[in-house]
Amino acid sequence: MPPFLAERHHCHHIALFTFHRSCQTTVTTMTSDNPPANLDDPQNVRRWLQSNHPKQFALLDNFEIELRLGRFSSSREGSVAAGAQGSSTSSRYQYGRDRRLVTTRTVELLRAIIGPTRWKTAAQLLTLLRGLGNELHAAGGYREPAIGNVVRRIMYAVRDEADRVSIPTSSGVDDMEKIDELTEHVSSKLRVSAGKELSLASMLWAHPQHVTMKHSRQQSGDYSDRLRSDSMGSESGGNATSSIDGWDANGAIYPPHFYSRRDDLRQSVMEAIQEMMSELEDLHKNINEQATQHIHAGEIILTYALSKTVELFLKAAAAKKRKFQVIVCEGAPHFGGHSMAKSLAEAGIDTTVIHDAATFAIMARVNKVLLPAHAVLANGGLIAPSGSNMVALAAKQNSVPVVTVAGMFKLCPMYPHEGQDTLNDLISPSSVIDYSLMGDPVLSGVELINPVHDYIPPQLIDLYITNIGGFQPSYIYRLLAEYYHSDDWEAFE
Amino acid sequence: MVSLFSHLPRPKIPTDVHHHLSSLSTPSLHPAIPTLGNLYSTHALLGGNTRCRAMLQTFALLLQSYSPPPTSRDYRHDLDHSLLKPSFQYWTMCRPHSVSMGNAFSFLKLAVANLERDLEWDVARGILLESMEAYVTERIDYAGKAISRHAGSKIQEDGDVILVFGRSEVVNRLLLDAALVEKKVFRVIVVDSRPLLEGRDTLQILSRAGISCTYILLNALSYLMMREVTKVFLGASALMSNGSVLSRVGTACVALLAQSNHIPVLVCCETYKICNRVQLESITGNELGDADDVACTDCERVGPSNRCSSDRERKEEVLEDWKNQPNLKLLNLIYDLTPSDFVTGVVTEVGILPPTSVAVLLREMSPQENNESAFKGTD
Repeated sequence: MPPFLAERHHCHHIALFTFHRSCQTTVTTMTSDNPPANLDDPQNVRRWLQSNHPKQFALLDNFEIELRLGRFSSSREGSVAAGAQGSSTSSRYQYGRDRRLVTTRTVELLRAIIGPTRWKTAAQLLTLLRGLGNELHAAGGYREPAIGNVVRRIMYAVRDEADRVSIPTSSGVDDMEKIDELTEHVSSKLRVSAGKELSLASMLWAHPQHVTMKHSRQQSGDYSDRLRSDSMGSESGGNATSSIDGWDANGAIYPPHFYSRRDDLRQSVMEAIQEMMSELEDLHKNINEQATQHIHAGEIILTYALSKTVELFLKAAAAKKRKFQVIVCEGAPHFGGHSMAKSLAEAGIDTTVIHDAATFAIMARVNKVLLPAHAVLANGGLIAPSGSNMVALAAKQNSVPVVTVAGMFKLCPMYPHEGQDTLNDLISPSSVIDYSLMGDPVLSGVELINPVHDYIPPQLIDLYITNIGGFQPSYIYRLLAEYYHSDDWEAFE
Repeated sequence: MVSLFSHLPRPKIPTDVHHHLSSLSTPSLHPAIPTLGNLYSTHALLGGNTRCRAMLQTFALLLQSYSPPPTSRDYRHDLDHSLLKPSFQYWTMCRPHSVSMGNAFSFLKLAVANLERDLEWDVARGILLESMEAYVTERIDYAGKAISRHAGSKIQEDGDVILVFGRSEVVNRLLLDAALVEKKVFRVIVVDSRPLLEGRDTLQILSRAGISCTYILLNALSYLMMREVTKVFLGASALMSNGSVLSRVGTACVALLAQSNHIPVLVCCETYKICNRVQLESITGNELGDADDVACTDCERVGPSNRCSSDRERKEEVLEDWKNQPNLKLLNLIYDLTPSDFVTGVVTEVGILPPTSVAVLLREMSPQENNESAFKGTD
């Protein structure tokens, strides 16, 4: 079979095969040599879970299997129907239709693993999370960037909680004294990166990552001057030379107070996770509250292909009795636009379906463009269904505002260094041209390309509507600092 | 139907057309007329050149079997009234005529008007047939060769990656000439769009000639455009006198993407397709196709563009019962307008010109009409 026709389920079969093999090898190493797996290295996480927490390990395995098989890519009813129709929909690549479901299940899984397992220190928890992130990424999380995002968010929450109060536990001293001691302790150690004394004003303006810790000499020679920079890919501790235990193979160094035992950390981390869960649940509600600000009567709105977020947004505006028209581009070759249009029409919205080719022709009459988001990048750029770049360019040409509706879990801490290949995937071209043509000797030499996503540069987007409000693309990088720690930016490769 | 487009002509079923016309007081039509009309309305004939040639051939056939009534005072008037006008009207009702057809028809009427009043009918017919023949040969065939030469000179010897959209007779011809006659080595990316999927024909033609091709749908264009494309060749249905190009829907998107990536766009068009209309955007003058073509998502057809025929086994469509849903409308535009700033050059038989020179060409080509009005009173 020609290489460019590698089918999706082939990949799945191969993935499952290697997955089984890796299970086998893990089992054999377990029985043959037995150093107790420590939670000090992300690569040990699997073994650690397997030996200490078999129930959680089973949960993780199941989740990974479902992720690889792509069972999260449609809702329950959708997958049942897909099964019934068999081969006709297997060629239609339903690419992550219910992303919120995947994300919610990921958070539930993480909660189920973090809650009962026996980690003691913040550093161990972070290592556990990092290991889980690697696992999920390898299991197909690269197709769904939201999975990596929630893991990073939990890691940020952990760091935040660990930094907040670093009192060693079980001391019967009076609380107030302890807090006073702590304040002095902390303020003597903290120095803002510019080298000035710590003051309220400097704290307000300093980026959290710019606050460094000063340490005694014996710990690490180069640690004291380490600045955590804002930019991506900071080589955190790459030049670690010390041989102190607890520094994992990736070279990630955590501040020393992360290595002290914390019993109250579990509680606060679980609360943070719960906050994230409720944010995910209320996602659409929060986004739809802004619907009436942006959609007004008599407008003609253009949207592209299928997106649950956009659909609910438009329906919310219609529910508030705004009369507007929607034009949906069908989004060949997946034709998501057809289902979207049907659903919108059933909700009473005046909908028209057009071919993608007619986008420029119709743009002269459109008032607003609403694009769905697969991921939002750190520079404010957008990863959207393939064909959206053309829509955005046509809108720019006609001075039509382009608005993207996205939940914050889609915000990824990465830059589009690969251009159009960022977070992109080339899938089977069977939906572009029928396989029966490939038998024709003349046509079998033709190259067929079927990308799933497009990268849209930030200057083509006018507004991001998210569950925490509306932002312009140039502000997105600032939001990253509130959600992710720059040490966690590197992808879980 | 969509209210924005209520001013545009809508597709009609051929039986309706026939009933309508037979209710008029014309004598029975020659069978060639509804045959051609049927070919037009079912999209069996697509493309400006094809439709124009077919029309002129049918006129030639009609002329062969026509003889003016003995009581006529002016055979030219009768010819016009009883043959030319009704048939053209009929075909326009089947499918709105293209600019190429319109210009050819104007030429034919002019040729009839220029005939001597007291000429024998046989002689007159001979002259008419000759001039139609000359029109096709000069303004379509020779023009195509000249365009192929001019545009072919822009293709480099080795390593070009050329992008084409849909199916254009003149673009295919120039690529085949460059590959087979001048033995240049280049790759072609064929971009296709629904619903007509004409790019499949282009793919077949070019692949059989041994040119290495890539085939994508329009959505994948933005992924490929920046990486490798060096030039874009587009065909046209008509050139407006303000330099904008009327062509198959989707052409404007291709030109837009190319221009935003600073890739040259060459529009290949014969001069007989230049029209003295001015159009600002795609909606004021367009044509609506059959809305069911939008609902039918069968992307797996090959060969001459054919519609969803009911005898083939069809899979379930999401929008199959769209007619029952009052809020849902389907829109199938046939043409779109590419603004002149997206076009780097227009390749005609007289050379490669900037799009702003199209108005000049128009004036040059029809001197007697324009100059009369401009220089009335002098001389």
